[in-house]
Parts: sequence; structure tokens; C-alpha cells
Amino acid sequence: MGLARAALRCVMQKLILISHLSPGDLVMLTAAVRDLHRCYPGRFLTDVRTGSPELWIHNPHLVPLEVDDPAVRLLPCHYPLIRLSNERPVHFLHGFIDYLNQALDLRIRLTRLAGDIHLSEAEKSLPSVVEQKTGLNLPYWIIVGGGKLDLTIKWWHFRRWQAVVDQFRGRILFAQVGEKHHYHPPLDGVLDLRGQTPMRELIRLVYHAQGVVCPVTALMHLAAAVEVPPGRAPDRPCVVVAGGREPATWEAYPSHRFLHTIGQFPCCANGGCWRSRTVPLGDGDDKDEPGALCVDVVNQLPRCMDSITPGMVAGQIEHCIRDLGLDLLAPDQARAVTPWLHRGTQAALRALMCGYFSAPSAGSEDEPAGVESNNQPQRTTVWATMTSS
Amino acid sequence: MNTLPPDSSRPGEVDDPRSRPDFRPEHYPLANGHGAPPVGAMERNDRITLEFLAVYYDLNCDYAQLLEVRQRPPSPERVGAERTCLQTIEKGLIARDRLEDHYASLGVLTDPIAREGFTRDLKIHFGNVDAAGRRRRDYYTLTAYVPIPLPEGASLKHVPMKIEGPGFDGEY
Repeated sequence: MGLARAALRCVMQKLILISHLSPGDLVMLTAAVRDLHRCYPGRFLTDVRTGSPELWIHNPHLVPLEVDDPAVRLLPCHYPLIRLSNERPVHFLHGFIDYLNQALDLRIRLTRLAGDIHLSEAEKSLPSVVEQKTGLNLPYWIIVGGGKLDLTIKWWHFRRWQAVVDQFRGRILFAQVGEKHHYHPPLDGVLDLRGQTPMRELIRLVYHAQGVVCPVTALMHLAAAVEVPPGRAPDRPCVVVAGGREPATWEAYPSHRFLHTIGQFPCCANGGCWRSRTVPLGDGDDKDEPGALCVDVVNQLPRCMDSITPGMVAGQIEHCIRDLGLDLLAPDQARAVTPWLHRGTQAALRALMCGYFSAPSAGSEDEPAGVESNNQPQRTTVWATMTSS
Repeated sequence: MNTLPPDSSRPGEVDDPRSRPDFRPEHYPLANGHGAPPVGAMERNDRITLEFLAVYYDLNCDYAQLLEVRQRPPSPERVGAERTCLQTIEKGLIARDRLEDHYASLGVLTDPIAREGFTRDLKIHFGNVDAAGRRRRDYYTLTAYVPIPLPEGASLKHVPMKIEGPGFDGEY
């Protein structure tokens, strides 16, 4: 039997798939590898050379292959299908599959509308990152309040993210994540995990999360790709602030609340605009070229993103909670986690100077104290200014 | 239509408090632990820094005024003066928030380092440069010295390897 297996391995085609794209793109590649093997079992031995190698840990479809093995085919992977994303109803998950079909003359089909991320039983049995940090076993949502610096057009304003957090103060614990060298303004009243979640811990954080709220970013792909703990709804809720950059058909997952504006404005009337930046960043990147800039900026945001209000996002989260019966924080849990929540230096400065906090909520311990004049919450005043146009 | 934030690189746009006759240097914060850019600096990030420092300077002065008022004996006049000071501070905070909103699309992040209510230093990060102040997409040269010890008694000519690279003429 061993000889037969060895003989079979000799005729199986050896592939090393290569890509140094961003983590979100690589989640798509995991789907392509999965479906290559599902559609052509026993035909291929596959390995990868990618950024974010932690995405591939415990992946059952990979075997160690050597780059200098003459029998190995090195295959840099791309997804040219994206050029047809405004014309055909294809999803991002089809991107690498389509490329492999072209490169290898195959007919791989997408078998599941999600990536393929695996956790070991040992990983799943570990306490959540939130519990490891706070010592409290609490339900939580993940929030991404910023984004990468190359595609600033995807950014929603940080005060809008803050308004969403404030809407659920005492009811939902938000864990804010984001890479240290990207743009992630600190949000008040969240568990600040920015720069503290290497990829494997991020995957585990997603595993235990009740839901995810984010722009179009790797977190939405991980929200779909990472399995859900037993006893929960099969699809992890995710609310995505998308705007008009990407076609909904290309990016959205069926179970996600994908807030897009495709068809609402002239610049995304016929599909995603695929522009890169809101305004020039001045970093020497060719994404500052006029052809890559947003053509309709309002309140320092693309109009499509400006049209998405915190109320819309909060409303979708409320729907997820109600429809799926998600766990919320109990009052004693909300009190217990309060010392762990991030209180930004801006809010602290305001409190120190004026003796009160901004954005108080009814019944909050942070109600203004001792100041009778100008009790209008600062952020509400600014928000009203932003939406007055 | 895409528009850039108002160009703050035009001379005279920044109301630099250091140019005011009543300037109080003890209330002017540092920028990233160092002195502020010079008055009239033209580079965009410097001018954004000066705008934020001016706002925090005014906040520090307003807060100093509030503390002075609170030293006065209790009286209706003191309550009125305190209310006025707090309203002035609130306006300053609104101005600070508006500045943050204005430059958010450039990836500008600010973090005031305060002591006893006064901002002493302002950490400010920009989306177009890294922590060392280099433009993110500029090319730059890295040099590394990697010592590789040879076995005792061996010399380079006995090592079966080829050394290539700019600056190396094949002789070693």
C-alpha cells in the first residue's frame, strides 16, 4: 500500500501557489485551494508561499513542497477576473479559481461561498482573546474603525464608528482591531486590541465573536471563512460599510449586511468605481493620481460613504441581534468590563478640563457632573455639523 | 468633484500663537517630543502640526484662565466667569474636533499628552509618512552587515561559493 501511495504521489502534479497580496485576498486563495482538491481529488499536491502564512496553519490541503524540486510547478497567482466584476455576477471567491482554471486547464467550481480557514481543536478550546485579556468570558463584536493607507477611499469617518459604539454602550462589547501601521483611530468605550492581534490570534478572536462590523477589509472575509462555535447560527453576522467602490456581487456574502450604494450615484451607477483614495495622501504612491481619486467628496468622505449613517449601521446590528437571538452584555458584565474599556486621551482631556464626559448616554455613570452650562455632547454637535450639508 | 482639504501651505494661513505679542511659551506644546516646526513652515505636514499646536495652545491658555477663576472666592460673579471659561474651552474643543475631522481623510492621528489638564506634547501621525518621517512609497537604501564566521583555519578562497553584488569586483 505504501508503494502504491508513493507511486501515486509521483504522478500527482505538484504545485506551489505564490501570492504576496493582502490577507483578505489570501482568504480567497484558501477557497481556491480547497475547491481544487474537492473538484480534482488526488490529482494535486499543493503548497503555498504567501504573506500571512498563519492563514494556512492546520490547512488539510497543503503538503510541504520544496521550491527547488524540479517536479514542482511554481505558480504566481492573480485574479484578472476582477476586471469583469462590473459586468458579470462573479464573486471575489471566483477570482483565483478562474485563474487556476486558465493556468491549469481545469474546471474547478466554487463549492462554498466562503474562504477556508482552519482552527485546531486546541485553538478552539482556548479562551477567547477577550477573556485572556480581561479575565471575563463575555460576548463581543469585532469592530474595525479604519483601514489601510493605500485605499483610503474605503475609510468611514471615525466619529461615525464612534457613534455606532456609543449606540450600544452597555449592551455590546466591541473589540477594536487593526494593524499598528495602518490608520485606526482609537475609539472610546471599546476593548482596544489594535496592534495586539497577530493573525492567528485574530482568527481565534473572530471564531469567538458574536459578529463583526467593518469596512470592506480582511475581517469581513474572515467573518465568513472562520467556522462558528457549536450551538450558534451557522453564519457569523457581519455588517459591512461598503459604499460604492466594489460591486456588491463581487464582495458581499449572502449572510452579511452589506451596506452598498451601487446604482445610487453617478460615479457608481453601473458598478463599483474601484477608485483608491478620497484625497491625495502625498506619499508618492500612484494612487494619488487623479484617475484613482474619488470624484465626489463630501464632508471629507466619498459621497457614497457619507450617505451611510451610524443609524443605518446600528440598525443592521440590531436586526442581527434580534433575528439571530445574539447574546448581549448583562448589566453586571457591562460593569465588570468597564475598567478595561479604552478611554481616549481626547475624552480624558475634555473630562479633566471641563469636569464631564462627552456623548453621555441615559443612565450612564458618565453623566455630566457639576457643570450646568453647554451640556450638549460634543460629538453630537460635530455630527450635526457633518450631516447638515 | 474631488477636492483637497483647504491648502494650509499658503503663507500666513496658520495663526501661529508664537507670533502673538502675548505669547506664553509655557503653554505651547511640543510636537512628537520635539520643538514645533518653525513659524511659517511651508511643508504640508508641518503646517498641519502648527494648526493643531495652535488649537492646543489656546486650550491650555483657556484652561489656565479657568484655574485662575476657580481660585477666586465663591461669588455669583465667579460662577458667571467660570461658566464663560468653560464655554470658551468647549469652543476650543469643538475647534480641535473640527480640525481632526478636516484632516481625517489624510490619515492624521493626534494624541495629546496631558499633565494636570495641560497638553504638554502632541503625538501626531500622518498617513503619508512612516514613524521615521519618510514618505511611505519612497525608495530608500538599506545596508546590513552580516558577519559569517568561517571554520577555524579556513579562508574565503577555500569556501565553495560565489559572491556577487554591486560594489564587489570578484576579488576577496
